[in-house]
Amino acid sequence: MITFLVFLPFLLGFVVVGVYGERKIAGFVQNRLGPMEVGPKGIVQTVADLLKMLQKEDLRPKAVDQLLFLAAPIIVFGAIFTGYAVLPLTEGVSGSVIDAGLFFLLSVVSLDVLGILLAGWGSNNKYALFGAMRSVAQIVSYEIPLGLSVLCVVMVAQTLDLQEMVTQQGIYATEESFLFGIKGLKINATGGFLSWNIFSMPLLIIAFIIFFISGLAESNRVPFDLPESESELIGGYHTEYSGFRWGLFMLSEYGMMLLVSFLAAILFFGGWYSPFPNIGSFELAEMTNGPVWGVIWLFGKATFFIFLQIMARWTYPRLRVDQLMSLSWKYLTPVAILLLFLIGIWKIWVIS
Amino acid sequence: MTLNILFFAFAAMIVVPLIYLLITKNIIRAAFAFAISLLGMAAIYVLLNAEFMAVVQILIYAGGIVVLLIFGVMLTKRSGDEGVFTAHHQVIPGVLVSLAFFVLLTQSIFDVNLAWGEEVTSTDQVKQIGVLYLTDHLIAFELIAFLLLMALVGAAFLAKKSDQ
Repeated sequence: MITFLVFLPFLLGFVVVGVYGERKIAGFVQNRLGPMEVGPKGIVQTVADLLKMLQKEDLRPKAVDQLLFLAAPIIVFGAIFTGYAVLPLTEGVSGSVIDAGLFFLLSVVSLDVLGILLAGWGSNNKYALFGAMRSVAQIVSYEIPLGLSVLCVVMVAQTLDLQEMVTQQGIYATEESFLFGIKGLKINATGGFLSWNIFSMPLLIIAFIIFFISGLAESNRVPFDLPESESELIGGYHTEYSGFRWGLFMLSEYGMMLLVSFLAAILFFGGWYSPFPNIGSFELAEMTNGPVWGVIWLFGKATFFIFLQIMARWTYPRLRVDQLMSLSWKYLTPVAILLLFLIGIWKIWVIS
Repeated sequence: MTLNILFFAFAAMIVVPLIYLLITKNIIRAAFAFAISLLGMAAIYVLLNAEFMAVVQILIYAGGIVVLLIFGVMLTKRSGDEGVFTAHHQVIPGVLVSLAFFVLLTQSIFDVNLAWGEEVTSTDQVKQIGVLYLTDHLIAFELIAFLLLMALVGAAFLAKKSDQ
C-alpha cells in the first residue's frame, strides 16, 4: 500500500522537481543560468512543459505495430514501478514482505528490457530498433556487475529483506556490528554513520562505486546514454513516441534513477538511519531517529544520489560502444567477483 | 475461494497467450505472448508459496531467455508483415507424440498430488535452498555450474574474431 500512497506521488512530484533541478545544475555546470523565464528563477518551467506535453496530440505512425507500440511504455513503467514495492519507508514501515525481496526487485526491474524491445520493434523504424538493441545489450551486460555488487551487501547482511538490511545498520540492530569490520570496535550503541554498511565493511566502498556506475548504465543516463544518443540515433527507442506516451518513458527513466538512488541509500548508506552518532552521553542518534525522521533521512539520501547522477551526466562525455562493453566485462565484472571473494573470506574468518 | 479465482485468472494468463502464440504468424508477437505466459507461471508459483521459484522464473525465463529469443529473431531476418510460413510434415506421428506427452504429463501431475494453498511453514526459503544446494544436492549444483561455464567458454569462442 505504501508503494502507491507514498512512492507514486513522490515519484511524480520528483520528476517535476528533478527535471527543473537537472536543468539548473546543467546551467551551473556549463556556466549559464538555466530556465529563468517562467515564474521566479524559472521555478514553474517544468510545470509549463508538463502541461504542454499532456496537451500534445497522441501521434501513432501508420506503419507501427499498434499493439506492441501502445503496450511498450506501460510495460516499461510498470516493470520499474513494481520494483518500488519492496522498498522500506521508515522504521516499522516496511514494503511488501517478500522472502526474496531484493532479488525480486532486481528481477522485476530487468523486465523493462522487454518493454524497450517492444518499443524499438513496434516503432518500425531503424533508429528506434538500433536504440532498443543497444539499450538491451547495455542493460543486460551491466546487470551482472550490478547483481554482483548487490550480492556483496547480501553476503554481509545475510538477508534479502530490505527492511532487515536497514535495521542492521544502526542503533536498533540486534546483531553485533563492528567499525571497519574489525572485531573489538563494537559500535552498536554508537550508531550514526559509523555503523552504515559502507563503514562497517570498508570493501563495500568499491562495491558501491561499481553499483553506482552500473546503476547509471541501467537507467540509460549519460555517460551511458548510447541507446538514446540524440546526435546518432535521434532519441533511440522512443523516437516515434510523442505526448503522454513519451512522458511515460521519461517517467520511467527518472523512476529508475530514483530506484537506484533508494537502493544505494538502503544497501550502503544506512537507509532510514540518521547519520549522527551517539557521542558519549549526548545521544544524537536517539534524538534524530524515529519514524518521521526516517522518511526524511531516506529521501534526503536518495536525493543526494540523484544529485550525483545529474552531476555525472553533465560532466562526462558519452562512451563509445566498445568502451562501454569493455568497461562492463573487463573491469567491473572481474573486480566485483574479486570483491565477492574477499568479502566472503572476511565474513568467514575475520568477523566470526 | 479467492485462491481459486486467482488460480483461474493466472491459468488463463498462461493458456491464452500460448494459444495466441500457436495461431499468430508474427514471430515477435509470439515471443511476447510467450513472455506473458511465463509471467503467469511465476504467479502460480507464488500461489504455491514458492516465492523464490517465482523470482527465478521471472529473472531467467522472462528476463533472460525471452530477451535472447527476441534478439535472435531481430538479428537474423525481418520477416515483415507476411509472417513466417512453415509447411506441415509428419502430421500423424506429431499428433501421436504430443498426445502421449499430454497423457504422461496429466498422469504424473495427478500422481504427484500437489499440496495446494497450504499455510507457509518456513519463512526462510532462500536460506534453506542455499543450504540444500551446498549439502544434499552438491553434485547437481556443481554439474550445473560446470555446464554454464562450458556454455560461457563456448560463447566466447564463437564470438572470437576468426581472422588469424
